[in-house]
Amino acid sequence: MKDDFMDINDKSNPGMETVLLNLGPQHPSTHGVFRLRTLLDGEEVIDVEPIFGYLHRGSSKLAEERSYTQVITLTDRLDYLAGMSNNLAYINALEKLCGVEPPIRASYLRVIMVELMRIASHLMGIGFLINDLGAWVTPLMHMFREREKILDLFEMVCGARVTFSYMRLGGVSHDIPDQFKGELNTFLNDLTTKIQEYENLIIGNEIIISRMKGVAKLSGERAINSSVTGPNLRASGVDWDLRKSDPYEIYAQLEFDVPKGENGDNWDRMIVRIEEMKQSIYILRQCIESIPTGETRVETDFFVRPPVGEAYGMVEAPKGELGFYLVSDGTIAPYRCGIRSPSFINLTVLRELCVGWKLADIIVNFGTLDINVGEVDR
Amino acid sequence: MQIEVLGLFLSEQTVSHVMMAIKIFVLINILLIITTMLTYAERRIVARMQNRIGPNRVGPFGVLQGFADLVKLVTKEDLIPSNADKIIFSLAPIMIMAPALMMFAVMPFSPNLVLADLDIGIFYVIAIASLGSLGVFAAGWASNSKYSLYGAVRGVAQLISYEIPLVLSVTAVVLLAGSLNLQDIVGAQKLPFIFVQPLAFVITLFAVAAELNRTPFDLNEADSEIVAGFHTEYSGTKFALIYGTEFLAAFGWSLVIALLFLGGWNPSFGGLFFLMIKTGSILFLFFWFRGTWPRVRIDQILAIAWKLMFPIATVNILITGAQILFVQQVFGIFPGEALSIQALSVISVMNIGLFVLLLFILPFNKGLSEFENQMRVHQKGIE
Repeated sequence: MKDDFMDINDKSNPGMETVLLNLGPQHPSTHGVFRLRTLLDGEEVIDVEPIFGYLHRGSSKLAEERSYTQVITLTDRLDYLAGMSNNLAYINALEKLCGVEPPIRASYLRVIMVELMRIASHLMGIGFLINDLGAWVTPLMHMFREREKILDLFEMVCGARVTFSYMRLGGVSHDIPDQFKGELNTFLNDLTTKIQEYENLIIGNEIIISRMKGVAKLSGERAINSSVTGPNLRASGVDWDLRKSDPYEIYAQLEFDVPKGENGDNWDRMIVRIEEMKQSIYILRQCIESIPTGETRVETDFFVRPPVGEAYGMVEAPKGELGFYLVSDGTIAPYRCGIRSPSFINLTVLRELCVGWKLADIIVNFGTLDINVGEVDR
Repeated sequence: MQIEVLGLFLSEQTVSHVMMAIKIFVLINILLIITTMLTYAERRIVARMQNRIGPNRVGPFGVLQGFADLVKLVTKEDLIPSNADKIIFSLAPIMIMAPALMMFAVMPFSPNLVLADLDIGIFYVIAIASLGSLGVFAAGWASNSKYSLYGAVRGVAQLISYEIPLVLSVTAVVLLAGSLNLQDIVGAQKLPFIFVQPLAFVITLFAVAAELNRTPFDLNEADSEIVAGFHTEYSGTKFALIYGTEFLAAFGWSLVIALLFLGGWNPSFGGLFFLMIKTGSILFLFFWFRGTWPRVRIDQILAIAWKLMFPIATVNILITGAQILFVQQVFGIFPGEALSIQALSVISVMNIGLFVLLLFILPFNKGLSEFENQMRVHQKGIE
C-alpha cells in the first residue's frame, strides 16, 4: 500500500502519468455531499480515498445538550432514508438504560415500521445504483413511486414523511389508524408484483449483468475483518443478521430467511437487497395477521432520568448494524451518545473494491455499498 | 417570377448561386426548428417512461418549451473558464455543429427535394459526420478540465471504433444497391433493405447510437461518472449549440437509416410524409434507449465494437457478395443491373434465417462480457 497518497508522479515508473481526479463534493453520483479523491492511470483506478465531513452536524455532541426525548429527533436525520430504524436503535439503547419494556403491540408496530423503512431504503439503494449505472432516472423514478406509498403509510401513522420521531421510550407515539391495516395489505400486494417486475427488468438486462457480475468481489473473511455489516456482509456469504443472531423486539417470534450471496460482487450486493425486500414483505404479512390489541406505550416521565450507567443498543438497519452507545450521569441529558453508523464503517472496504477497476466502476461499487452521507458524517 | 427579375440584373450563374443560398438558408432554419422540437419530444417521451409529466406549460402541451429554453440559453452570460484555451474553446461548438448540418446537403427528402445529388452521397455523409469527433476532442481539450478531458478521450476512442462496423454494415447495403448515391439506394429498394439486411440494420443502429453518444454508449458525456464529459464547462449559447447538435445529428442519422434500410421516400412505401414517420420511429427508438438502458463500460464498448460487431459485419459483407453472385446467376441479372424484387426476396429469406440463427448462437443472458471481467482484474496498487 502506498504511504503517501499525494505521491502522484512516481518517478520510478517513467512513461506512466497519472491523473488525480476529485469526484465530488459536487458530483451527480456521490449520494449527497461526498468526495472521492481518485488517482487514475487512464481509465484505471490506482487509488481511491474517500473524504467526508461535508455534512457533519455533530449529532453526538448535540445529543449531550438535549433531553433524552429530544435526541430522538436528532436520530431521524442520521440516515434520512431510514428514520424509523434510527429511532429504534436509539430507543433500544435508551430502554436498556432505563429498564423499560414496551407493550407487545408497540413492539409489533415498531417492527412493521422498521420493515417498511427497510423496503423504502432498499428501493432507493437499488434505484440510485442503476441510475449510477447510467440508466438515466427511469429506474429511480419507478422506485420512488413505491417509496412514496410507504411514506404515505407513515404519514397516516405519525403525520411525518421523512423525520418521524415515531418511537418513544416505552412504546410508540401514535397507534395506527383503523384503515392502516387495509392500506398496508393493498400496498404489499401491489409491491409483490412490482418487485417481480423490477426483478425481470434488472436480472434480464444484458448490460446490468455485464457491468455487475464478478465486479469488485469482497471475500467474507475480508468483510468480517473490516467489520462490514448489513446486506454488504451477507452478499459475501456470511450469515449474520442481528434480527436472527441477537433478536430484539419480536423478531424471535417471526419467521423469515436471511438471504445470502455467494461471490460478494456487485451483483450479489444488489440481489441480496431485492431478496431482503421480499423477506420484509413476508415479515410484514405475519405482523399484520398476529398483531395484538392493547396499549402502545407505557407511561414514563417527560424528562427521563435514567440511573447512572451505560447501555449499547443495536438494530439491523437497512444499511447494516446501527448501534447507539449511551452513557448516563443521572441527569435529563445523556452524558455521552456514541453512534456506530453502518454506512461509515462499510466505507472501509471502498478502496479495496475500487482499485484495479475502471473509473466507471468506482461509481457502481460505491453505489452497491449503499451508503448515506447523512449517516457517514453524522 | 423572382428568378426572372433577378435574371435581368445578374448572370445565370449568379442567379443559381443566389437560389442555392436561399435553399441552404431555408433548409438550415427548418433543421434548427426541428432540432428545437426534438429536445421537447425527448423530454416528453422520456418523462412518460419515468412516470412524470414533462414540460407542459409553454404553448399548447408545452411544445414551445424548446424555444423558451433556447432564448434562456442565448441570453445567458458567455462564460469561458479562466484557464481554457479561449480560441479553441469558442470554436469547438461550431466544429461540432457544422458537420451535423453539412450532412443534410445530400439527404434526399423526395426525388426532387435534395440540395446536392452527390454520386458519393453515403460516403460523404459518413466522412462528414465523423468530423464532429474532432470538435468533441477540441472541446474537451480546450476546457482544461479533467472531466472534459476524460469525455474527449473516451469520445475519440469510441468514434474510431464504431466508424468501422458502421462503414462495413453500410457497405452491404451499397453492394445490394450497386451505388453510393442515396437516391439510387432508395430507388433500388424494391423491398426495404431492413428485410434484406436485418443484421446490417442492427449493427448500423448500434454503431449510430455510439456515433451519436446516445445511451447505452453515451460514455463521453456519462453524467453519473464524469458529470457531463466534454461539455462540462460549457454554458449559454455554446452549450445550446452542443446540446442542439446531439438532436440534429440524431435526426440526421435517423434519416440516413430510414433512407438506407426503410425504403426512404420510395413511393411504394409512402413518400415524404412516410419518410418522416420512419425517421421519427428511429428517433423514438433512440429516445427509448435513453429512457431505459444503463451504460456500458469503456472496455466493454470497445470489446463490442472490435470483437463482436467488426467480425460479424465483415462476414456479412462476404455473405452478401456471395448472395448477389448467386441471384445474378439464378435470375440471369447482368452485373451492374439493379436486382429485381424476386432476387431481393430470395436474399431476404436467406438473411433473416441467418439472423435468427445468430441470435441463438450469441451468448445472451450470460453476460456478453463475463470473459471481459475475468480478463481485466489485475489488482495494481494493493499488496
